[in-house]
Amino acid sequence: MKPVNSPQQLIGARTLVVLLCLVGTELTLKHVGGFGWWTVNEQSERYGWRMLPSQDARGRDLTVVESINSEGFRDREWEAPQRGPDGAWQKDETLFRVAVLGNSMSFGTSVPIEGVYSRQLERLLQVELDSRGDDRRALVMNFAVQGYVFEQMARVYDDIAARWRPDLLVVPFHPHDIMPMRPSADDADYDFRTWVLRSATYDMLERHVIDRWLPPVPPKAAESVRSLGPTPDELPLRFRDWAALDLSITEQPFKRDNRRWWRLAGERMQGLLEQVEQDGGRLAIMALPRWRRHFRPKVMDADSFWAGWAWERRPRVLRVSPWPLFEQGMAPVLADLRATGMELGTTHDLTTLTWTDSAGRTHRGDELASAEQSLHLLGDMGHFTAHGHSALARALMDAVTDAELLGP
Amino acid sequence: MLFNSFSYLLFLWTVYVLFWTWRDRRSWRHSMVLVASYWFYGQAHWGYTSLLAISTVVDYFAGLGIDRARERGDKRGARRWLAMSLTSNLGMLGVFKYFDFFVDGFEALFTRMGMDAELWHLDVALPVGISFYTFQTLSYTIDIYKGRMRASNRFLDFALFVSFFPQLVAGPIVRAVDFMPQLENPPKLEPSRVSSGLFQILRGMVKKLLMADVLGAHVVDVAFADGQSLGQLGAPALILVTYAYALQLYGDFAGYSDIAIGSARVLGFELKKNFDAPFKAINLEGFWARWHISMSSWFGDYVYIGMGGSRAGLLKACRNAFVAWTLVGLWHGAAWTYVLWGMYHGAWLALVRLIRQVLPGGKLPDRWFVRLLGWAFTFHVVAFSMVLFRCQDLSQFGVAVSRLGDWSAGLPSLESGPRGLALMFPGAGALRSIPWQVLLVMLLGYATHLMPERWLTRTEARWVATPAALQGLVLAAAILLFFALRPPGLSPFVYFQF
Repeated sequence: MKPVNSPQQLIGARTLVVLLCLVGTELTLKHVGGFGWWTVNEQSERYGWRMLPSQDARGRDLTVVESINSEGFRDREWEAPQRGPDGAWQKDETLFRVAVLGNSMSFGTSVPIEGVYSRQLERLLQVELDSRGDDRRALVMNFAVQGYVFEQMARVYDDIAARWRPDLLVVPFHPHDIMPMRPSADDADYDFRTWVLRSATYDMLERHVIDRWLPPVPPKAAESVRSLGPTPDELPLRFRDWAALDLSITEQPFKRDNRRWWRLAGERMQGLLEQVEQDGGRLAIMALPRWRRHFRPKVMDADSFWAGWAWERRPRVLRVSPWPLFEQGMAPVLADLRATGMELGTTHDLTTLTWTDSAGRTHRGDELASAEQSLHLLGDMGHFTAHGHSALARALMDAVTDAELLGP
Repeated sequence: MLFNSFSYLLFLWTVYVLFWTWRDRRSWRHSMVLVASYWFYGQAHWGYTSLLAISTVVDYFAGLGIDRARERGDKRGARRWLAMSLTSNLGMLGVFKYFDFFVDGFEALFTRMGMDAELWHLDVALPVGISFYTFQTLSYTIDIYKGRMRASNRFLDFALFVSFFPQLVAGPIVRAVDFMPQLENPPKLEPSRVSSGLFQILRGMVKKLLMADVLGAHVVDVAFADGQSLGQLGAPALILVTYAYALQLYGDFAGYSDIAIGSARVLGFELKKNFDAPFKAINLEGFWARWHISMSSWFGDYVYIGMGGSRAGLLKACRNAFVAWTLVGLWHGAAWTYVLWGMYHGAWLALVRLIRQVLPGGKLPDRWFVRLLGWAFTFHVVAFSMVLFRCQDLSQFGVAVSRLGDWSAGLPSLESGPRGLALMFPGAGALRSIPWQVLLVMLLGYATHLMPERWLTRTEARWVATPAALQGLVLAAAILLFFALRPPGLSPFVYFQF
């Protein structure tokens, strides 16, 4: 074959095609396929996963913007915490600062940021402070990360939130949060990782190839024990047991076999309480309402455990139970739902509400006349609407007022 | 910087463009590749570039010294220069690679003798690739001493030979006699060679990312995580792990060599083949003629033959083979597992020589079933030795050997899992199952390894004949495929530790 005179002759076609293919695939997947819009996480040995900082992503239906700040949380940019002369983190006395931990329910999946209960609580607190002539500014910092269980939330407080010395720490709790922390599959730092993770191409590959067809990489023996959470010695779990445990805790969190997870959560919460008090703050535990409880009165929420736990430590712990507000707020929606003849007792937090009318047409929950008033998202009942967040904010505000945290 | 990273692809592309842009400017071209090579090496540890520089300077002058002494007929002078080269290179290797190993040995000895000795340790990280480039420069001075080549009087060219980035950190161990002449002639940019180089790189990536890393993450690393996890395996699981590791090690190292050879080829250089389907070998000598060829031929030429080879009779030939392969083991690392691994191979090679003496015509009959038996035997002798190679210490190897005899847990069975079928092992070991996807990788790995060489040659010829734009399309698809199918993260090459 004849030698080539100009390197451009060789580089040109091949490099150009590679670049065009990669860029074309990326743009097509993003703008036509709808990939690469969701919030992107990266693996973390300490937390299991974390959100990549400084990203403007979209929620599940791609309509809600989820801006992640430089600390990796869905909130506005925060001022850096300050250290005192002794090197310890300092409390800002000009603020009434609340830190909210949590997962997707507190993150506000599918809800615009101003509708999330952390923001609504901030506004309620500010109004209250202003009405009292208190010069302090209310600031609620949202540290929720989607998918986190309690152990991960507690680690976020220990490592990150505690630096701001909040006046109040809110731990929202769903019974599933007793689940031990899942080990991180990988915490490798490789070149261009954040670019890769943010790309639509990776999103597509992850959803349609990696998560669907490829077996998850098993952690090495030592890692599988190390990453389990609160007290590794007591948790002889192996990787393949995770799915079974997850199912058990999701379906029957209070059954005998799962009691030890509540005990471990209680011990972890005790540690958190002591830390929060040492930091000059108060702890509030909020039992998040469960969809199924509307139809099956025997279904218990996290309050069944934390109410007694908080009672034993009164008045150190604020117990927040928004259930009555939810029961009341959901009444018209439930009436409409019952009228459809749907078997509501069998619905699950993670299913989508659908029913078939007499003409054989299928309807979705969010087509109901009263859907606008619902506190649960009717297409994703494990999460809340802005109304639901509003109820959570009110319940928290009531607890703050009752405990006289803003003064008598 | 790892070959299996994006950074390397960008780095290689940049070097490629500059190299061919300056193809008519020899000093610019060579200087650029030299700087790029030091930068490449410095990514691992900048401080250790000084060792590379020392080795270069010492052997450059040693080469000139030997050459001039030979010209004068001054044998003693040549020997003195050679001794300096040997002392410098082996000294460097001894200090950075073996010092702590021997200190540990002395400590253990003193403890056995009832003395409480805590000796000083160097405690430094092993300079990446030191075993490769010291042997490369040694071959240069020895070849000049033996009169196989003349010394180079171009320092830049010699420095480039020592530090040439594709083979710098994990071989192949290039001989000056093969490489230096390539620096003399102006390079010619031939599309077919560039295409062939890219094919080699792709092949290497497949071996590393889709074969070695997958088997490592899903099978080998889980089983060998610690002594406890290995101790929980039954014999069937351990046998499968052994097969997986043999393929992983091959994929990892041969993958590196392929990428090295391909990278050199796109820059117009030819490096010799380092692996030639080693698991096709039907005897142990054949295996070593196919596995890490540049290293085994180095030890063959400079140690085995240097000690007399087979010239001084059968028993001395057996002794020489044993000693040479014990040193091969030690070359791989400062650990008793490597030494024992080398001795194991040395002993087998010596035994093969002895058996050959009693065979009619010095070889086995050339029948298909004899070849098949020979292949199966050789493969298992090699695969078993790789367990020793992989174990962290001799006690872990002891556990592995004891588990090979344990069939009490029964045979594995195919069961349905969350993402399809998986081979489930009875018992409660760390490795409870191997998913079908991983089994498929293993099966395809061995199948492609054992397929006739001409199939691969034909595929390469087709690739070379493919228009560049179409190659670009395949390359883009390959990049995406590597992303999707490889395990998360970036695992370094196994041979980096040597």
